[in-house]
Amino acid sequence: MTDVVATRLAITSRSGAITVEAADVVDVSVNGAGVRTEADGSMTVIGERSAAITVTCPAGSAITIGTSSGTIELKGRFANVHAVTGSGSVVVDHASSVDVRTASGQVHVGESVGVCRIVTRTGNVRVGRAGHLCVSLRSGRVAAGDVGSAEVRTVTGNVVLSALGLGDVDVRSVAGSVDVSVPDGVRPAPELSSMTGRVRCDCQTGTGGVIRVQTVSGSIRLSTR
Amino acid sequence: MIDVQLPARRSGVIAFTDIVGFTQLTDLQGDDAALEALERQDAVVQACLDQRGLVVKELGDGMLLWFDDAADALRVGLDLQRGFEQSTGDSDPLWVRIGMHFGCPRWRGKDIIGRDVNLAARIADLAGPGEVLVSQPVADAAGAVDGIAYESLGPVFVRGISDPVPLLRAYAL
Repeated sequence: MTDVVATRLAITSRSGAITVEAADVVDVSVNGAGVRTEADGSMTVIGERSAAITVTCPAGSAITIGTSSGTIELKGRFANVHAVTGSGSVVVDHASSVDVRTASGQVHVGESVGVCRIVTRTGNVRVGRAGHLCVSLRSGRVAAGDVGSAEVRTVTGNVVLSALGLGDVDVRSVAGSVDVSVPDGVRPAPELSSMTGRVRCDCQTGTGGVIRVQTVSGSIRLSTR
Repeated sequence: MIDVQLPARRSGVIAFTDIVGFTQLTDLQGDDAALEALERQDAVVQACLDQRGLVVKELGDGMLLWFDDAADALRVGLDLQRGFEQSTGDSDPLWVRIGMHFGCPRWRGKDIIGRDVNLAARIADLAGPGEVLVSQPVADAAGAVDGIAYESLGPVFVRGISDPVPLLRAYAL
């Protein structure tokens, strides 16, 4: 096992794909961009216009990425991840926390141990596991797996959420349908309301985590799995 | 009618608010509901501004605000979000995103124009409902503000602006 020192990396590039791999390495290696070490020990990677950037860094590194367009792919295990792109898909394997913002494009997060915040206008959002999910989406679809607690806002986007039933879940949508499930045996406290949409509760209720879902026209379903 | 007065100083904070999903809400619930949402937004803004800032103009489903003092801008931004949240009913969401930038726009009558105004609008585009996003110059101008902290989102590119902009998410402690 290599003695790895986690790093803080900021990557800025106007466009072009950015791929970062967190691996069992000590040093940071960069292809397609220049590197500058800051006074506080963090590293700044500055890309050339439209050039693809490939970075290998120690596992557990904190990453901040800003680009106006281009896909972002983070492979491996990271600390805190911040990524902002004007357009382009974002993929994060595993992180302590995630903040992703994109105007359009798919967002896929494998696991965020803590907060997983995703702000996007259009595009599908898929999250495998998150301690606290916080998603804002205009149109598209939100599909999230094991979620401890959640705050989700969509305009027309549909939501499919597998809650663990431990923390509170708050989903609000104007016109999207919302489907929340909890594990069999969990008895959540549901607060479901829709102005014109159909509301169904197919699970036993109790005093578990609050499942609050509000829509204007979208249908709502709470079930067990 | 909102009375706009020219600020004493030229540098200050430019803030944009934007109601998320306003078009869809209007489509689903009609013009009366849209009007009611705007009136609720007006009421929250007027209650929160309280001489600390002014409404430069209304923008359909949003507003352009001006603050002489950056700390006041941050306090008002977070007060606004609390007010919008409290004003949201079961069936009539009032989700608002806010973006701010500190700069020196050009005054054209009671309006402001320029790169800094464009940048503030682009920052608002990146905010989610309930959020206040600010450029680093806003935080620098405000200094330490009791009860407010930041999460750095890093330098980001925004549409129409050539250089990357250091961006922060302001939140109440």
